[in-house]
This record gives sequence, C-alpha cells and structure tokens, in this order.
Amino acid sequence: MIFISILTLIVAKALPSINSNLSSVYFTRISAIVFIYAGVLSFNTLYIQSIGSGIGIYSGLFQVTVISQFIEVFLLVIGSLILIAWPLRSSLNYISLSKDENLAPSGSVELSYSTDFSLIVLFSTLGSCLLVSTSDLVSMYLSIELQSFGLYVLATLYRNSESSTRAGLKYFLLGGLSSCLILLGAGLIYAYTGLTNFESIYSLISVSEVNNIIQGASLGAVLIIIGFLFKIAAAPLHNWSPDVYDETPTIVTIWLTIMPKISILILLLELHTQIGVIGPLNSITINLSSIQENSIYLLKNLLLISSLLSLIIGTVVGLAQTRIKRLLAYSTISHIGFILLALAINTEQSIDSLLFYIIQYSITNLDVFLIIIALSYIINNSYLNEDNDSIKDIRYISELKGKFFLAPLLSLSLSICLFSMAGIPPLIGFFSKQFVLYSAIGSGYYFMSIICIIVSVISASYYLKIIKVLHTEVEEDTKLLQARTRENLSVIRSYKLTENKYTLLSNFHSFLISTLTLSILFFIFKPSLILNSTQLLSLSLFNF
Amino acid sequence: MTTLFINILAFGTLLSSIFSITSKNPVISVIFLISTFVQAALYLIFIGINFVGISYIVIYVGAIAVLFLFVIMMINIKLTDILETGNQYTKNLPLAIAIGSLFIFIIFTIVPFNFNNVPALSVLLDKITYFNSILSNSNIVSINLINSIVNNYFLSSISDVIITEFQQIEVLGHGLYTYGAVLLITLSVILLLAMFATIIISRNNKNIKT
Repeated sequence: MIFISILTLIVAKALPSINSNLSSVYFTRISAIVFIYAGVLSFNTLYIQSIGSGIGIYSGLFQVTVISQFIEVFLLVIGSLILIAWPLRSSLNYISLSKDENLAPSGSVELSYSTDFSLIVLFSTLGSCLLVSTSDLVSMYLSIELQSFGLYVLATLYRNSESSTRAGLKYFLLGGLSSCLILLGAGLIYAYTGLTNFESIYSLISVSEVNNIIQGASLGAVLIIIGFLFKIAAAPLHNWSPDVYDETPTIVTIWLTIMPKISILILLLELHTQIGVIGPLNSITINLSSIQENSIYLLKNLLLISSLLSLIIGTVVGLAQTRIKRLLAYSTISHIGFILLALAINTEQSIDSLLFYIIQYSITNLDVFLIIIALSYIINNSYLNEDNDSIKDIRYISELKGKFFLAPLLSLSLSICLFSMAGIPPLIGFFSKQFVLYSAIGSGYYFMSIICIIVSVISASYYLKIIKVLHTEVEEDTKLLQARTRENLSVIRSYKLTENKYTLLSNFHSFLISTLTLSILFFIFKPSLILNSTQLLSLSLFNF
Repeated sequence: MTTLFINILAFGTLLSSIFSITSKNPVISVIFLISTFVQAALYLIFIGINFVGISYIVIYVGAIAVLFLFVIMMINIKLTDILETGNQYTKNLPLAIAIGSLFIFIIFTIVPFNFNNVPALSVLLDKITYFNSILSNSNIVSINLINSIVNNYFLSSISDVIITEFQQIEVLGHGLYTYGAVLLITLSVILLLAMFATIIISRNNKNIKT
C-alpha cells in the first residue's frame, strides 16, 4: 500500500544522494511528487467498499478507517505544498551575492540542506501517516518516535546558525521527555491489562468491573494523553514551543507547526472518542462502578483544563511578544485550545467542527508562514547592502513596518490570513470558531464558551497590531530608505553584470500563496466542499 | 536462597547507582554505572527474563558504557571543575525529595501496594496470615483467600514465566517475524533515519563545496 510506496521511494532516493550527481532542486520536486502520488493512492482506498468501520492491516497493528485515510490525504497534500514552496533560486543567489569570501560556500550548503530536508521530511511524514492509522500501543509508540525523531533532526538541520542548534537540542530533550511519559503510560496499561491492541483495551474497559485494572489503565491513559499534549504544546506544557519555533528557520517552522499536530490530534481523537463512546453505554447498565465513571471524566477534565489554560495563556502572553514567530507560536497555542475544547466535548457536531478547525487552521497557518518567507526575501533583496548575511528570516514585528508599500499584494494577503485567524466574519476562520462555540453551547459548556469568546476578542488585538504595523508608513525613515534603495539599485546593477539575474520569488511560491489566500477568502461562496466531507467523517465515526 | 540473592542484587544495584551519581571521579562513576548495569542484568536473568537481561549486558555494558569510559578518558576533564559542581547536588535535594514523594504517593494511591514484590515482607505476611488462620480456625478464611487479597495474586505472572522460560528468545523472534513484521520494518526505518541524521549533522560542509 501507500507506506510501501513511500518506503521504496525513500530507498531509491537515498541511493543517488550518495553520489550526488543530481541537482538538489529535483529532490524536493521528486519528493513533492511522491507526496502527491501517495495522497492519490490513499484517496483511492477511500473508494473501497468494505472500509466501513475500518480494516485492520498488518495483523491488526494498524487500522485503516475513513477518517485516517482522509487525514492522510490531507497531510500528504499539505506536505507536498510545503516542499514545493522550498526556497530555491532566490536565497541561493542572494547568499552568493554577498561580499564575504567565507559565505561563498554557504550557497552550496543551502543546496545540500534542501536534499536532506526533503529526505527527512519523507521519513517524518511516513511516521505521521502511520500514526494516524495506528491501533496498537507498540505501533503507536514506534510511529510517534519515527515522526518526532525526524522533526528533531529537522530542527537541527541548519547547524551553521547557533540558534537553530539550540532549538533542536531543546526540542529533542523535551520531546524525549514526553516520549518517556507516553512509554510509561503504555507500560502501565500493558502491566494492568496485558493487552496492547486498542480495540481489546476498549472492550475490556467497557466490560470489566475490577477496580484495580480500570484504575491502572486510566492512569496509563492519562499519562499517554499528557505526553501527547506535551508534543502538541498545549498549555501547561507549552513552554518549549515559542523558543523552538522562534529559533528554527521559517521553512522548518512551517513543518513543525502543522504536520505533527494534525496527526497527533487525530490520534487523540480516536482514543478519546473510543473511550468516550464507551462511557455513556456503561452509564445505561445498572451496575456501574463509580471509579470507571471517574476515569472517563478524568480524561475529559484533563482535556478541558488544558484547553482552558492554553486559550488563556496563548492569548494573554501573546500580547507581549515582539518577535513575530513567537507571536505565531502563542497564537498556535490558543488555537490548540479551541481544538482541544472541540475534542473534549465529543459529540458528533463537535467532532465535525474539530476536523474542520484542523483543516482550516493548517491552511491558514501554512499561508501565513509562506507569506512571511516571501516577505523576508523581498526585504532581504531591498536591503541587499550591509549585514545581510545573518538576517534571513523576519524576526521582529517591527521589521514588517510599512511593507505594504513595498509588496502590496503580499501584505494584503497576509492581513487576510490574520483576519481569518482572528475570526472576522466572511473568512474561513470565523466559521470554524463559530462551529466550535456552537457545539460547546449546544452541550452545555457555557463557561468555556464565554472564555473562548473573550479570548478570541483579545487575540484579535494582536493580529490587528501586526496588520497596523504592516500598513503604516515609516515616516522618518523614508528618506533614508529611499536613499538606501537607490544605493541598492546601483549595487544590484553592478552585480547584475556579473551574476545571473535572481528572481524574487519562485513562480510556484506566489501561485501557492494566492491560491491559499483565495480559498480562505472565498470559502463562503462554496462552503459545502469542506463541510460536507467533515460531516460525513464525523458521522462515520459515530454511526458505523 | 535465590530470593536472598535477588535481594542482594537489587540492593547492590541501588547502591552502585547512588555511587555512580555521587562519586567525584568520572571514570569511577562510569565503572559504577557498568556495575549497575551488570547487576540489573543478573537480576533480570534470575527472575526469569532472560532476553532483556542478556540484551542489557550486550547493549549497555558492551557498547554504551564502554563508549562512555572511552570518551571520558579521551577528553581528560580537570577534576577541580567537577568538584565544584559536586556541591550543587545537595542544593536541589529538597526539590528532588518533594517531587519523588509526590510521585510515589500518586503511584501508590492508584496502584495498590503489592507485598508480593518484596520477599522479606511477604514471608512475614504469610506467617501472620498463617497464625491468623490457626487462631480463628475457620475454613472460610483460608490462607489462599487472604493471600489473594493481600498479595494480589491475580496479577502475578507465574504462568507467564512457566510458559516462556525455556524458549523466550525463540518466542520473541517468532512473534517479531510473523505477527509484528511491520513493527520490525518501522524500527528499521527509525534506525535508518538515525544513521542518516547523524551523518548529515556531523558532516563537514567544506567537502561539499568542491
């Protein structure tokens, strides 16, 4: 199946990377095509009639359901989009333009990074594809290790910069800690029930009345869920994420913020709905044990508490940030809060809104980061002059000042994305927040929904702050800037004679940004495309 | 006899692990680490978990600890630096005790304390229940019942050991190559990624320039 096709392609790609005859540009392109092809394959499996409530493959260690296949397709498409957007020509030539002799090899380093990047991304995506459809404790642990190990390497990939190495080490240590927690939880579950398969654990929980076993298993489940919350940076365990996101290069940050979260959230969804579905069935039966009720509410309360904390922390702390990627990391935390709220409610409607939220959030986030990369190229190209060897990414919000006049379309689309994240009505972000709130109110979580509304209003202020910075003109510096650009132009002209002409952005990059922005903008005209599919998925989870 | 030996081994493991943390000289602490691993492996083998014990010796003692020893002898740290940091262990002691006791408390409130694991205590407990049954002299409260309540016998893994004692490695291999073949493949992919990652992280970039 799909895994095998990815595997063989990895091997096939690993071989030419040794002799390195191929240009590295092809590597990202090939792996993007691999992603699309694998996505098509797994999309094909959606048409298999017997898929119903899921097929166990590989002797029941993995379970293919409609949801897992759909999310896999989504993951692969997003992955291919990120890979295609890999900066190629512009950054290379810009680096080779710089005057320093020492920096001349860094252009070729960039080239080699891109091949490594695409290979590691393949590994990590294989892990997350496995993780989505896992149905066994052992395979869960192995696939999460595969996924997160790829991510640790990805974070340390740019080892020329000190900050990225630091971020990678931090990510590695804390991710290792959370893996230990997951492993401890899995070990406890195995020690008490003697089972590793999810299905049999669910059935054991739903049937047995022995307090001991259920208590131990619930302890294990709590530990596992805490470990996963650590990995997706939900609130009480969020401290690593702003540092790591800030210090890694932007192209890696895209990957870190989007891909692992989708797969882990889907796994949490599977776990939580299965245990949660069993809960009400038990309450109907006469001899219900109070401890078992406790364990179910324990998980739900855990998710609710963490969602509450991450909503509050993500917005309130985010207000004080000056670095743009830290700010986006905090906004990620508050969005995770929304997603966890939808997860904790666990009705058909909330699962629907959860899936929709995940999809819209990853699209919007991808778009924001792509635009930031594009803007950073433009800024770098306009200040080609002095200390450009170290500045590659945009770090501070103030760097965005007045960029509307430099790149009007890009900054317009950035502001559209930020409006959508803040939840301004005609955009896609509004609908997802509305669905989550609607389902929360529908099942009686009034306090949480009030908190959500307040928090989203607060968070709108810092998105608006970015937009305001983006669109106000720099008043004192304009003359200086003009002078500098004139100077730059002459410099560029002199360079153009020797070097080949560099492009600001690759065509595909700008095309991608425009497509994503338009899909965010025009979602209201054809909402049925995403909404119907998510609704079908949530119904399939509950009714099969 | 074996229980006594196992107890001595467990105690020795704890003792040498404490020594490996607190000893001033890094070489000696690594040697204590090796002795910890060896004793833990022996302990595991004696309680019937052969494969894990053997792999402990092969992996930890054979590869990792010797590598540590080698690296420490190579880099040649000054002893005075370590002596300065040695005083900082006691600074965090209250925090460590607080966290540890909290963890133990939580674990033991949910996991029932199980005397079966500690032979010295369980012998005492058996005696008490035995005298109890003699004194009360009733057939209903038999030793077995009390034992099953106190010692949590339904969790004991005697049958596990009896079945798998002889061909543990064989059973493991059989399971791994038939039932869990995909796990093996996944593991191999993880190892491949690990190898690849170490290569690309530690590679010298100057060579690529040409």
